[in-house]
Amino acid sequence: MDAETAELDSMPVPVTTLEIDHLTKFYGPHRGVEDLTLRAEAGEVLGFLGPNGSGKTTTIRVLLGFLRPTSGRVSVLGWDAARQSVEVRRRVGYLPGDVALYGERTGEELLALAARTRGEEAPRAAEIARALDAPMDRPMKKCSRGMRQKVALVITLAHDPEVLILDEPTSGLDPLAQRSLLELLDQEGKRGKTVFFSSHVLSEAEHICDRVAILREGRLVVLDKVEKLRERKYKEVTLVYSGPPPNLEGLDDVQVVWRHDGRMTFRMRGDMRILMSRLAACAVEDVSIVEPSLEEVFLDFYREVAR
Amino acid sequence: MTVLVLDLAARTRAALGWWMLGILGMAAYAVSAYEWMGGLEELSRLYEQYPPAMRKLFGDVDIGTLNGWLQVEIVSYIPLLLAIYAGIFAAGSISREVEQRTVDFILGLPVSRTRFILSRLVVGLWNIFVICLGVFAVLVVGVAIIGHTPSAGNYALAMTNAFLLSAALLAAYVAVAAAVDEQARVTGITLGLTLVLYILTGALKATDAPEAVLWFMPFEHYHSAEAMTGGSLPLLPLVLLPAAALAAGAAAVYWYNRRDIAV
Repeated sequence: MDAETAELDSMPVPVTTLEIDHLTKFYGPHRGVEDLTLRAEAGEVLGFLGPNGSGKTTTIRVLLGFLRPTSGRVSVLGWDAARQSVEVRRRVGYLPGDVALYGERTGEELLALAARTRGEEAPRAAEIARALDAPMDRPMKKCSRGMRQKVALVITLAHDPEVLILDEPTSGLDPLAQRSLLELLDQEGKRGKTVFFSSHVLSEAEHICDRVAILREGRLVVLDKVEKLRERKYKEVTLVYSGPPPNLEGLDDVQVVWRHDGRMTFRMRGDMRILMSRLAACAVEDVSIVEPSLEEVFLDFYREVAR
Repeated sequence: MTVLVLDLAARTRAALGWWMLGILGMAAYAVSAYEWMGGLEELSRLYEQYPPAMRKLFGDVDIGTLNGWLQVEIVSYIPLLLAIYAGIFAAGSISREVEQRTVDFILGLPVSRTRFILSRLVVGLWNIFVICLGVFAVLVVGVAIIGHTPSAGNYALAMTNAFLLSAALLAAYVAVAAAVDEQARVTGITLGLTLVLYILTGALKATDAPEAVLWFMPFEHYHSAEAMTGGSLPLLPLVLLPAAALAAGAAAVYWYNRRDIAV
């Protein structure tokens, strides 16, 4: 066995935990989601992005068995979401969008109800409640939206599920709590859990997602790694130089934005090494390369598809 | 399912308490009023002058007797009160969960829709049973307090019949709530249906409608007059009402399992 084969053998085999295969869901004549295919693996944080009405919540509700697919197949950890949804929900932590909990109940009581229904303990409840500063002893009717969201997150994560399906988990949370939650989800991914979360706040996905799926009008526009998506987008390069400007001819996809008095800004994509070799040949005093944000990538996709 | 049943029972306890207070208060008033009225002979004569249709509605009993009085004043319309309770309960425990989106919390747990619907039925049945038991207890204790011998067997038969009829109506209203998401609409449908059926039963009786038509009226299968004055019940409601409850319950489970839950 050569070294390369040995290295390949030692790599973990990806385990598909969540599988959506040609899913279509119509509400009468109205489209929810159409011909959606994607997979998520153990240890992966997958962001499910799209504007309101793009089909994110529909997809999540099909995954949990709340909605029956019009066609296609959806499974979680090998269980069919339409026919074996109880088994799916036994193994999943689900956070609905716009959380609603029984107003007269406290977080502790709801957590106990969830644990009794599952027939198992909630081993991580205290740890997560502490991390999110969730008010577990207060009746829900006396809690703000953000507080209820924290309590719901504790209940979702408390039984240490294999797969987390979260519909806009940061909605209603203050910035500090949002950061704590994103760190928590990042750690869950590192612990080998699958985190599938929807959002329309792109910076969230940018920080913690391994891959993102972008939906538009019920259809999957793109599914790729965050870095790959960024590579598709122009980087913005600003140079400060003395003497003659660098020669950019022959570089792929270069658009000069402006050039004046020893400063130049241009956009480019493609191999940065070629650019660096060109810059080495002239008197560059300063250079800055700005990566596009996921938001810019996202908006570009929308513009491209709209065109 | 026990967890869901206990949780819902706890959440509906306060409302049940208020219903009990109202219905048992009415029962206690009816019992005590028998003593205060005094001139029951006069009342009997007046009752005899009622149109036959109205007397049929009350079961055509002798209002001058204690059991006849209790039949007219409280026992005859216990199922009407319980049917109203059943409609409000079904709307509050099923449609409201979808409307307020708490169904996402419950059905986000490993709970089947069948268990969800059955837990609502079980708690509704239990609550109705508790009310019937309460009325029975008030009648027995109240009659003893006013110095008469309670006809406990008769009261028990009447309340059994009331429970069975209300159980069938509860199951039917749960089926309505399983199909319609808005709490207000389900409350409206079930209350409207209850009143229409109750009034229609009386109207059909008054016009001596054919038995075959009356057979389809749920309140026609309430034989409290026979129970209160004769101490017996026909066999038909004892068979028909549980069968109707089972059929309506099965329909509720079937519909709830087939539908989308889109909040």
